Amino acid sequence: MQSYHRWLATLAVTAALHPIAGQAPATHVLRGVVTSAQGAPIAGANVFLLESTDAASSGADGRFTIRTAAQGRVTLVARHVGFAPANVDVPVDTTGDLTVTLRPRAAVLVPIKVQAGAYTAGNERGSTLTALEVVSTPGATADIARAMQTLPGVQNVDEGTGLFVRGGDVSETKVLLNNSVMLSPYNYETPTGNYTVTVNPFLLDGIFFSSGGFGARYGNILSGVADLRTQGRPVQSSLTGVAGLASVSTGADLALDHGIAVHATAARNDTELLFKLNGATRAYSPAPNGTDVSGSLVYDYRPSGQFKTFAIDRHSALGIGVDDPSFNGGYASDTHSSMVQSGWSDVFGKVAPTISVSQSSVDRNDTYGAFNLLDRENWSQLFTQTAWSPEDHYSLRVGGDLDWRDARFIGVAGQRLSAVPAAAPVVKFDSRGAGSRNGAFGEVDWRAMEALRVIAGLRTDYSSFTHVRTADPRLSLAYKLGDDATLTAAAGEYHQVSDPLYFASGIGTPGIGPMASRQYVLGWQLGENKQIARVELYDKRYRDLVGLTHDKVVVGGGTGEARGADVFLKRSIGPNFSTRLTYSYVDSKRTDPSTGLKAPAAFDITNSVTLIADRELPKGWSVSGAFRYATGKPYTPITGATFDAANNVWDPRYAAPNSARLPAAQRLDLAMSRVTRLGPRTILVYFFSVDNVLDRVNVYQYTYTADYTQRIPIRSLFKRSIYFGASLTHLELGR
Amino acid sequence: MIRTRFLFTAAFVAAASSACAQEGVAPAKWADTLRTEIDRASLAGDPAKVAAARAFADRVASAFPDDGLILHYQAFAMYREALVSGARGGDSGTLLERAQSIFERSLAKRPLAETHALMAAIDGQMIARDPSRAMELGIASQQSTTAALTLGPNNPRVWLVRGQGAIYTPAEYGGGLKTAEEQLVRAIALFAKDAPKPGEPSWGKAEAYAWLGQVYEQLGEKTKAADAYKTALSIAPDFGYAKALAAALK
Repeated sequence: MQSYHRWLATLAVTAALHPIAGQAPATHVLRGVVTSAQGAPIAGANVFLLESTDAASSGADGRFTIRTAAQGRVTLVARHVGFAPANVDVPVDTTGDLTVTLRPRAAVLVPIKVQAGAYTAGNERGSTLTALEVVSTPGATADIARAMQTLPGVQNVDEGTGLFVRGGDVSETKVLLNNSVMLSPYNYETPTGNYTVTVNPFLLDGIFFSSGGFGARYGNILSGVADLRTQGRPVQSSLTGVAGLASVSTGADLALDHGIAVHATAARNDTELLFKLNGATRAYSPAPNGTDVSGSLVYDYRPSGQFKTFAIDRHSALGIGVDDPSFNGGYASDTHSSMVQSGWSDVFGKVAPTISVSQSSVDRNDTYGAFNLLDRENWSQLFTQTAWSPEDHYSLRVGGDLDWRDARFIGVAGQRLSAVPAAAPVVKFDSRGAGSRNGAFGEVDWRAMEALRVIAGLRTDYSSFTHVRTADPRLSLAYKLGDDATLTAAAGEYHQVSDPLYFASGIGTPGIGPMASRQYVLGWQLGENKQIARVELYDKRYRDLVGLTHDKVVVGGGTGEARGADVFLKRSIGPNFSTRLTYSYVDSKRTDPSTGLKAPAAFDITNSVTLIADRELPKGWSVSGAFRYATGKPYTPITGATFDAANNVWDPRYAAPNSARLPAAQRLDLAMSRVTRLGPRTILVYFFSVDNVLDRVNVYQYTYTADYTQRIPIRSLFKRSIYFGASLTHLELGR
Repeated sequence: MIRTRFLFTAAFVAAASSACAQEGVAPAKWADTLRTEIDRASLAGDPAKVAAARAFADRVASAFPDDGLILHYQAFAMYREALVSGARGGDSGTLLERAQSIFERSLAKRPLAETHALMAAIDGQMIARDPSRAMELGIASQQSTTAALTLGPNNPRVWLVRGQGAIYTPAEYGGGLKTAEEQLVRAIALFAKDAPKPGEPSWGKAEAYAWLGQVYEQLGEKTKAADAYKTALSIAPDFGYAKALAAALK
């Protein structure tokens, strides 16, 4: 089907043979002067007629003369850098002087999208990762958090999906869904990590991820932000079914009339077959399993206005045998979580309001020997923002958020919390931590110069948990160096209130203040889209950190620092091969809650490296691989124990806090898939992957026998594992 | 001569204007003129005329840099010129990228379904030039198509661009001749009810028949193809491409 191009080419050759038409003789002369609003002459202005190609430049006195063969009325335009163009509509035979007045105007600004610490994933132009790259990341099993772990600044602390960002604890990074913080973003929480993020990546439209230096819009977050946005209206209706070794799911996208659309998914996950086929490093009872149902309703009542409601309900359970000769039991977890979020957004001229409300709840029951905790939480949130863009070169955003959180903790624990055996003496507790938080922010996004974007903001928050009002100024700069390079910098103050558990009566410490960090980020990026080189340096200073001692006593007042460098390279080599490399270096130290000494943070992973390569092959095939390396996690060795006869338990003796490291972790994952068409509207995708190809034994933790004489490594849950499945999608053109 | 047409148009407009000099000429008349010039040049397929239309659009846009509709036509003229330049073996990539950037500015000022659809078409052209960008731009293209359909679910030009794209898209990625036929037939049905406002895009009716004719040719249905080319020429007798296709079919 190259005939269109052939036809154009033929015409081009023909046109080249035609003689160039001569210019008609000028018959009229237009004279005048270009001045500023104050009447000063403007030299060097470009003056021309729209009806012809006749043009002139104004002289030192602002005067111009144009000769033209045009007839009737003409539109005379004058332009000069730094001024808005002006025009006059005049008869071409005008003989008197024309005056064209120019008024100052900023140059047309090309958007500066790069920001310190910020990465985007999704379908928008300029995203760091495309949606397809997210779901096809090898070893990520289409999990968005695992895909985000391949971004710079995220340390691979364990084999889970938790986002440990730039020397921060996992609790310091919040996952937001349509402007509401998710209460329970992870599933299958185990001692060596969480296994999936609850939101199906195919329901998402875009992800904003920040490893630091984020703006005033985000409150009560100390280290990182993963801001997820669910889909709007689909192009066409579709039905999808997916069956894999550990999961069966179905989904529907319905594009209805009158601007209404519905998305719905349902899934049943069970890893029993996966572990039977691949073998398991531990005994499961039950194997990780769960169900989830989610849906959203979208109503585009006009091109710029949208109502959107998203709801998700999940249940997950697992039981893991613990390899401990002194303890015949295991760890079990059963979690039920739900979230309903509704939002409205619109644009009225230069004003764009957004409102989001949500209600989340979680019921989690964890059992580990003598320890049992039932955690019931409810969280209601309101977020609102109004953006006002009076001019191209600046916009203002103001908003606020309110939330109410109520958590109840019921359970039993060993009198010495280090005691695991189920027969150990126990204490019972029933505690509650409830409170509210309110915050307000204002932010200006200003193109101070053509090459300089400045985002300056201030937010303030108050929590009834801490009874402290905080004020956080934040600043982010981006300076374009030529077409492709951008220099970025950010600095800011950040506060976060600890988890309600830390305030709960009986088990927490009411009155502890909010944790704080001060961040400085300096970065440089070359290129966008498929070719990116990016380097960032950062320095974070923590104060008022809250932590738990070995005996789970809440201690505040800790300090810390994290310094490091992140490197991100993304490159296409040839037409069908792309690769990306992430390297993160961090040196992170914190006050050890048990000793009060400054020590490496428990998540101080000095070097993290991820290399990913994708190759597109003919006939719909694609193959990709990912290699990950991470320095071993610090841990505190136990050097011995003394027997407490009164309580019938051994009390451990600890070495210097986090003075040893686990072995380095490595993993190689491969994946391949093929897209085929069964009919005009039916697409079949089948996929196959091998995780941990080299069957590397990665150790993520040590546990001990009851008398602490024997150290037991806890290795990764997964050996070399194969996974396969297929998805079938039927498309309807719709609308 | 293009210039003669410009003068004619200007004289026509002048008849409705006051006799004295005035500032701030309403851009709507220029949007209408641009629409006409780009359409004529594109249908004729004459590279010189297409280049002149683009130069004219540049000039008008330099006079009205904040007008979304004028920016749309400036980018549209660039897109048309890029197609001609690409066919001549020139570097159409720069023109396409500039057009994409101006379309984005245009959207910020005045969102049009056609703008989104043409951005999707440019993504398709860029992928054709550099297949390694398929992953990145394919999704962006889909995003633009979604936006186009949201703004104009019954806009015939959106369906025309979709149909054109489907011809070049492999079936496993949602394209193919049958899909193209379906979308072009839909576009033609929508053209029957098409009533754009003054100055807004109105191109594409004859093109839809020409592209549908090509799909029929590819499917081996030569009679249907000939009918489609004939209809295209009845709508736009100067449509050079349809003439060439009809002649080649005989």
